[in-house]
Amino acid sequence: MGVSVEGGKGRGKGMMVDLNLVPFIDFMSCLIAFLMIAAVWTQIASLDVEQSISNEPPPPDQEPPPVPPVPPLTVHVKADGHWIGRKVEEGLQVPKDGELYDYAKLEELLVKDHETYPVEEMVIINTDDGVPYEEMIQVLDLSRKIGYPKTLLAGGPPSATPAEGAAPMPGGG
Amino acid sequence: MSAIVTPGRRPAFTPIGRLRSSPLSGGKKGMFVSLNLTAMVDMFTILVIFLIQLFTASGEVTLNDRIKVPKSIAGNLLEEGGTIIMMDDDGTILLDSMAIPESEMGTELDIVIPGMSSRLKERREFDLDIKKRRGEPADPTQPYDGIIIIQADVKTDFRNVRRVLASANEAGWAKIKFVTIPSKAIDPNAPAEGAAPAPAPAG
Repeated sequence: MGVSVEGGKGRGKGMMVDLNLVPFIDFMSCLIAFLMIAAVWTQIASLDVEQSISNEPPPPDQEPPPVPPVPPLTVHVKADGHWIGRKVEEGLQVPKDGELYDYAKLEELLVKDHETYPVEEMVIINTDDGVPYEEMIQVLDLSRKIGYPKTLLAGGPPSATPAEGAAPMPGGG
Repeated sequence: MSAIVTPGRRPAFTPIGRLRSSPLSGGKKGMFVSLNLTAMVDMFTILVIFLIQLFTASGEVTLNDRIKVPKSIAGNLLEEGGTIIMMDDDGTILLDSMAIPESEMGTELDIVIPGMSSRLKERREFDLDIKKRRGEPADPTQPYDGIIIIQADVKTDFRNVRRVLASANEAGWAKIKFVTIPSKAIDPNAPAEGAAPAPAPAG
């Protein structure tokens, strides 16, 4: 690439100054090749959960947290379907629709609960052992979508009744 | 009378670059042919800036064929990096691409995975020590701000996920992110939802 520079004292001829762009172009080509390989073309999302760390003792002057007036909503993910409710006796079973979990029905019940208790932010998702991880993520995703920003993950061996199964892990999740 | 042509070799083609004694210039001066590279250099610069902008921390998480991560609608864009735990459906668990030795996996009845818990604890203490030496000690009233990114296959048994979560909890790691693939494009400027702290469990 040449740059024309006018002669100093207005003489007739200009001077060609040559910038050597070859190393610059080489460098740029390498940089582009590297960045294209290293670039992330797929968007990755994440569902965030914050655990409460239970193994640190609370300060001695702290009062125990008050018992909430409304028990938290629990969704129990079992091998044969879901159980959803705030109290054991009022819980509803959402059986599997064939081989698949019935997320349409679960969503309906979650929306209904959210309309009844709009200020409640918390869902306990209790997943049995042996249930695929995807089913827990689906329930977590559904609850976030409907408007429950806090989640407590719980789990344990498969249990017959939801009350026994609703044992959060140490510290919850 | 025509000019006398001396026999001998003549160039068959004109060399590119400096053209000397071309018939058009009358054979007096050389001519310099140069490529106009301005447009290409401009394009390169813009491309480099665009590609550098694409760089995010989610580059730390690489998707592979062996681990099929679930889809989500409500997920936030993964922007922060952290300690990555990969799990596949046959029970293999990798902590930052390093497998936990079989002898430290514990049994299925154990609540935590001993090898995972001890390694995470070491990492947390190491990180806190570095912060202390740097003169930025962590606030003891706040939970540790390290992030665990769980990249698990859809078919993973929840038992394994539960044991990993319990190990992280025992080691003092509070923030967990489950890697998902968004069902729709995420607006990075949208306010983040969720990630609110969960209260201590009753059980």
